[in-house]
Amino acid sequence: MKAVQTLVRREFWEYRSLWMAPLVAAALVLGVAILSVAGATHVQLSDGDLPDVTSNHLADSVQALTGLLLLVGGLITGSYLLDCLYAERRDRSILFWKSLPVSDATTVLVKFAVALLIVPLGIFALGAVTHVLCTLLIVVFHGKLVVFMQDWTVGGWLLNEVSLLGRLLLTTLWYAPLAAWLLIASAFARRVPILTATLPVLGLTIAEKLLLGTGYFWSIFKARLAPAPDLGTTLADPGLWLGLLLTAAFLMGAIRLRRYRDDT
Amino acid sequence: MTAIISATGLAKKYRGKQALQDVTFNVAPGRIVGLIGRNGAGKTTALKAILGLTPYDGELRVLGLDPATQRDALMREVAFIADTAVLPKWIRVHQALDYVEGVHPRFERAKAEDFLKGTDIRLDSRVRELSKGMVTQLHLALVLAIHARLLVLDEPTLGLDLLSRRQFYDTLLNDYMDEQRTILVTTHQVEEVEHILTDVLFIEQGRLVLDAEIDTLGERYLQLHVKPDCLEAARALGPFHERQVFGRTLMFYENRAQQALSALGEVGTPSVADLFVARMQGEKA
Repeated sequence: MKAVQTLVRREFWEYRSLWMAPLVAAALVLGVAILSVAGATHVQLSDGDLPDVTSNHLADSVQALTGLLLLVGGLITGSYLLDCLYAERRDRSILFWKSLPVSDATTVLVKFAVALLIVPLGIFALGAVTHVLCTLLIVVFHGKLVVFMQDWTVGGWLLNEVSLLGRLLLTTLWYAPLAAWLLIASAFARRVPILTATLPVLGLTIAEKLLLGTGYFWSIFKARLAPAPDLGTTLADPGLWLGLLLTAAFLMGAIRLRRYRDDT
Repeated sequence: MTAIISATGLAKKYRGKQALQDVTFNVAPGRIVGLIGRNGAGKTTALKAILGLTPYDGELRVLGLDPATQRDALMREVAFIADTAVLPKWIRVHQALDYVEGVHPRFERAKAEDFLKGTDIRLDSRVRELSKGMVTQLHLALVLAIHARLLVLDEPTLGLDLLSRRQFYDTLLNDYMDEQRTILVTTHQVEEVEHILTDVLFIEQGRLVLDAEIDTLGERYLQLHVKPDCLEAARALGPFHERQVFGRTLMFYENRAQQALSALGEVGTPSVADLFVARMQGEKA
């Protein structure tokens, strides 16, 4: 367990953007929220009337917060997965990592879990905290809960957070095959991992078009790039489960590549 | 005593080239073995096979384990430095200590920290900020604080200046070596390691051409500074190599009685470096 903790910490040492980028994004959102609430308060003071504008801005900034954090999360984990098994071969530090008693399976699975579990959960927690801070801002600036907040309850808030969390976990399952694909591309790439990841997709698409005249592969791929549909639909979709099988296959491939590839 | 490393018919084809061919040797516990060969002779390939970093043919046991299938268990008992430039550039010294401490049950952190205190390395420096010599010292500090039964070093001093090289080997001998430990070191700079070795393995074009204890080299090999008028007589005794040193002829013999030679000139034990040169050039001739 101590070893796994150490391995996880290691990833955050090397890829500082994994924790810095979400923090910066959250700080940005919070800053915008402060400005908009302060601006609205100013309007309210001069008009002497409680404006709707505050609640709208708040709702907007919560929306923006979730969207921005998800976008940032997707970008940093994507580039992390694409780089992590390539960079260690490029700088030959893999020879140092491999001199210690950590198996290739543990290494690869920890990296996968960092991208698909730890960073998303961290971003979720960060989103929840930022959300609470935004709420507190309203209370501080108005001394009371405004219209928007009148039917706010702890229960309702928790329910909302739980459903967000469920949604997030579903999203990670949905994107798992893409994440594992990036990882195997990273383990396989000789030079530019992003080309290793994208060229086969393009190649398959073009080959299918030329040979069969159809576009199934591309439409499946595109559907997978889009966000997961709602919970029920997604869980009932055999595509989700096939995708998870593919994920397992890609991960095993990445482990084997790291174990037996010798290009240092 | 069981062998620390036992290789039988070890072979490896690498991109159509036979990188190792029928390599057979044993390494006993407590030895310091030099695996010596020219660049591209197969030293690194042999080490990679021993460390389970590359597939191979033939029979290989390291500490009784099969490196190809039991690599994870093996790495608990074996420490290695593949070369000094492989510590990740981004890592800070204290992070490197944390990391090894976290993943290696046999790492003694205090020992590594003690070692670092004797250097100019600061704990909050990143590896990319350290000089090459300091990186080597750091790597050595990490590895020597691991209680490993076998230490494998592949060209550990490559690219270091003379002073750092000397320090490296002194530390190895003084702070690390004891009868429970075994070291296997590859190098192409023979003269640098020959004073610390107990055994030598010469490798050339993937084949083992010499496997001997240093102490027995004198019984097996002799060098003769031949008197100018005895050249023909000396040649008649079948040296496997001869060369000119300061206008005098130096001849190398295997399994010749000292008495037979002493009449022809000055007899001595060749240094490992001389023997290596003689062997390699003899092979070509």
